[in-house]
Order: sequence, then structure tokens, then C-alpha cells
Amino acid sequence: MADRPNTAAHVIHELASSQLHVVEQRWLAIAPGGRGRFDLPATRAVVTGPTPKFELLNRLVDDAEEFDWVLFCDDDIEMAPGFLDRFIAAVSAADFALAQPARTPDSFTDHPIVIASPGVMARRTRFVEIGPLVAIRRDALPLILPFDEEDGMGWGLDLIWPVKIERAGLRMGIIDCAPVAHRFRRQVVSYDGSKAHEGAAWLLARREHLTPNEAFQVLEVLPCR
Amino acid sequence: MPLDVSAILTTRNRANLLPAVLAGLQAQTLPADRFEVVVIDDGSTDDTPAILAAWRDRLPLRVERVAWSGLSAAKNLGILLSRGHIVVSLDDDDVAQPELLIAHVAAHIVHPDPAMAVLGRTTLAPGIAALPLMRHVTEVGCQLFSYGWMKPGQVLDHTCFWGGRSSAKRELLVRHGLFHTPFTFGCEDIELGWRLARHGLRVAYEPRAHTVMIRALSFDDFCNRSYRQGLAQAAFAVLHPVPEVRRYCEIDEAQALWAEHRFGFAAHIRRTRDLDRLARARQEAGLAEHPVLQPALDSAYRLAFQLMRAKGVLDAQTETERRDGAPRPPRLLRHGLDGDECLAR
Repeated sequence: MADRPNTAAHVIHELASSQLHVVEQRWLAIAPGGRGRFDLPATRAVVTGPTPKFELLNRLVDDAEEFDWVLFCDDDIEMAPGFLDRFIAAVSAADFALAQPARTPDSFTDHPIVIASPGVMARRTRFVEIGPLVAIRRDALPLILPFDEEDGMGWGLDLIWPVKIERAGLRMGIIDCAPVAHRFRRQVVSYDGSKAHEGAAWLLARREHLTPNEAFQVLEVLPCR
Repeated sequence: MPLDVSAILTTRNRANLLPAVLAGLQAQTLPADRFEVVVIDDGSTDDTPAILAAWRDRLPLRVERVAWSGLSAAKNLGILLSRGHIVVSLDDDDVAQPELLIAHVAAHIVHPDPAMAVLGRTTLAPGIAALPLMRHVTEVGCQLFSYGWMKPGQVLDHTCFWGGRSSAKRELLVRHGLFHTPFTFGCEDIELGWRLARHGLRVAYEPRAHTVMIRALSFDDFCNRSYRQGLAQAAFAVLHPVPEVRRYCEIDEAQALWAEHRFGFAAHIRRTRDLDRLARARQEAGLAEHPVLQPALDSAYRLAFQLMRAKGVLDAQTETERRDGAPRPPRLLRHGLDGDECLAR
């Protein structure tokens, strides 16, 4: 969000600092009416008019299968040095095809399950939140991408994904040993929350999904190594 | 059939107590196929893993061992692992009486509102109830339990959402709030209760959901507990800087008490320890309660625990001031897009 304070520069720097992975970053600058600053490295496009979020994301990842991992990342998170290497190592060790980093306890959270569990490396769950950072392994990409225009703001997708992932015999979960802080902007401030809620209801009505009580479940605890 | 109850037991280095605790769960009148026991071994270094392993076939038991992470994180993990409709929180020094779980189930049937929790009753085992300190903290000063004013079935507010003896619908917790993990001891239950109150949390008292505490605390144990309670209360008041929380945590009272008594603090703790020792010696000798010693001891206990709590509050505040006054790492945004600069464009 080019016209608002954000942590994009920090995130770009940390992801580019990976010692173990070749990281190609593609960032979209949302600059309504051309306002704001959009000169950060890795900026692939500048969007000045209203465009559906997932249409933009689909454009960025039309060659996704050429990568081992695809990460979708918001511009309002903070991560520790070495985050990406630690995160991918843990996701690989846990054999997760879909994963997210846990959030630090001082983060804004809508779903308590995503708060970091300090004594463990990772938790296999039935829930991975759509943001602020989600990682998809190459074999899970056909299950998740491309996003559908019906997906709206994406709310509710995280109750649909576990059905697809489990049906494909894959695993998903939350990485606790590489958390991110999400305390910079409260969620929902950037778009109409009630509209997103209604969109989620329609999305869930159309597709097979878990209830929140089913989704907010830890299936396996992977201890620190 | 879906499970009615998940009993969450978080434990650390209580291998000596666990067999009695697990035996209490084995003796439940609720059929074993209607509940599970989720144990989080929070980094124990004693025989806890071996004891839990020995009980695997005797209870519907699920055990997860994690590196030490504190009470809140361990409880959260237990809740998220659970599969029951109702989550009952247990302490690892309390023995469940046979009707504990069925009483929680019945109370939730009476109170189907998702925001309704249930508080059970904890009493002291006969062997420890008469100890001078245990009697004081449960009957006189009520710093440990305070059930005397409650009536069966009474509906209470979130400040009675006491850890280790309450139950709630799993859905309420996983959807609206788990324990705040930096709270490793003390206030974790009331802090969560305070947040859940926004979602309508109320607590029904059901004394038939009964547990018995089997661990005696010494005077120094309780001093340490009171100090850590003070640390936690200060943290609670910082996390939620509103008058209601400050009042509940008695922050101003702690400051005033410390200002008045800090120069006599150590002497008072020593004197109380001596009185406690004398009272225990008299009890072991089979002597009756002394008409002067007993009230003097109760009064000394009360001030000692208040002072320990106040010291915890003050120490936590001093630490916060020291940390806030220390040089801070450079702001992240200095390396990128600065808010002011951005908005000026």
C-alpha cells in the first residue's frame, strides 16, 4: 500500500537476505490515484485504480509451477533476521505443503490458533490463514491457484483449503519457530470488513469447507529439534 | 460419537503427584469413551514422561511433550489439541473426584449458552487442610481459594474464570481467545476472562465439580507465589491500561503498601517465617491453637503476602521503566518507507 506506512522495504530486505534459497520477489504497489511512494526494488507493477485483489495476484504467479515455493506476503509484517531460511527449513521438516508462520503474541490476530506456541517447532493443523504470509509448496499449487474471481477478499478460503489439502493427502500447518509480528496495522482497516464477511459467507456456501471449530484444531505437535 | 469433554492437564516436574491425579481421572463416573485427557508435559526434567507412558493404556490419554513454554502456552496447546465439546482445565496437584467431569457436563447442559463457563470447587486434602498456612490461605485470608461467598448455581462474572478448576465450551476459546502466552504464571486466567467478557463470558458455580488439592505449600512457596502474582498483575495492567484492570490488580494499593512498609519488609518476612515455624511445631506436638499466636500469625501472613505481591508489582514496574528507558533498536521504517515522509507526498 504505497500511500500508507508499511514494512515492505524491511520484508524485501529480509527475504532477499536468504542464505539458502534463491528468492525472486514480485511486489505490487497499490497507489490509489498515483499517490504514495512506489520505488522499492522488486516492484513489478503499480496499480492506481481499483482492481480485485486476486486478479492482481494471479497475474503475479502465472508461472508459479516453476518455483519450489510460492509465498504470498503482506506489507505490514516484521520478521527476524534469517526468517526465510528458518521458516522453509521447518516447513520442509514438517512436510507441510501449505504453511504459515505463527504470529508473535503482540500481533493483531483474528484467530487465536495462529499465535506462536513457544515450546514447539510447528503444529500440524487444519487451518492456515490466508495472510499475512502464506507459503504454498509446488505440489499444492494446483489446489490453491489460480484464485477464483469469486474469492473476493479471500475471507473464508482458509476454511476451504484444508478440505482440498487433506483430500490430496497433503499436510498443512503453522510454523512456531519462525514467527512474524503483525502489529503494524490492524486487520480490516484497509477495506470494508462487513462486505468481506458477506463475501466469505457466499464463498463458503458455494464450496465444501470446515466449520471454524473443526478448523481450529492441532492434529500433531512437532517439537523443537 | 463426539467427545463430551476434554480434560486438559498441564504439568511440569510433578512426577510425585501425577499417579494420584491420573487415578482420579481413571475413577470418573463419566464413561471413558465420552472424554479424553490431554496432557501437556511442559518440559519436565523428572520422571513425568515415564509415569505418563505407564498410564497410556489405562486412560483415554493423549500426551504431548514440549520444551518449557509456561502455563499459558501449554494450556493453549492442550485446548487446540482437544476434541471435546467442553474443555475442563485441571491443575497437576488436584485430584478429580469421581463426579468431576459429569458435573461439568451437566452444568453445561443447564447453561447451553456458548459464552457460559463453569467454575468447580477445590478443597484441601485432609492431611494438609489443617496446616497453619493452608488454613490461612483458604479460610482466613483466602489468597488461594475464596469460595465462601458463592452459592451453588450462582452466575458470576469473568473474574471467577479460575484456572485449573473451570470449564468452557471449546468453541468459545478457539474462536474468541486463548491464554496470552507471555503470562507464564499468574493472571493468565483472569486476563483471558477479561477478554472473553467482551464475548459475553459468565461463569456458573457448580460445587459438585469437585477437585481436591493434594500439595501442601510452605510459607516460602506462598511468598514466591505471591511475588509472581504481583509480577503478573503489573503485566496485566500494562497490557490493558484501563481503570477496571488497574483496580482489579490493586496496583495503587500495592504502591502505597510498599511505600509504607518497604524498610521493614525483610524483617517482617523473617518474623512471619518464625511464627509459621512455631505454629507448625506446636501442631506437630499436638498442642491446641494458641489464642494469641493464631491471630498474630494470620495477621503476619496477610501482610507478608501483600508485601510480596506489592514487591512483584513494583519490581515489574521498575523493569518496565528500565526497558522503556533503554536505547531502542533503530525503527524498521528508517530503512524504508517512513510514514511521515509517505504522507507528505
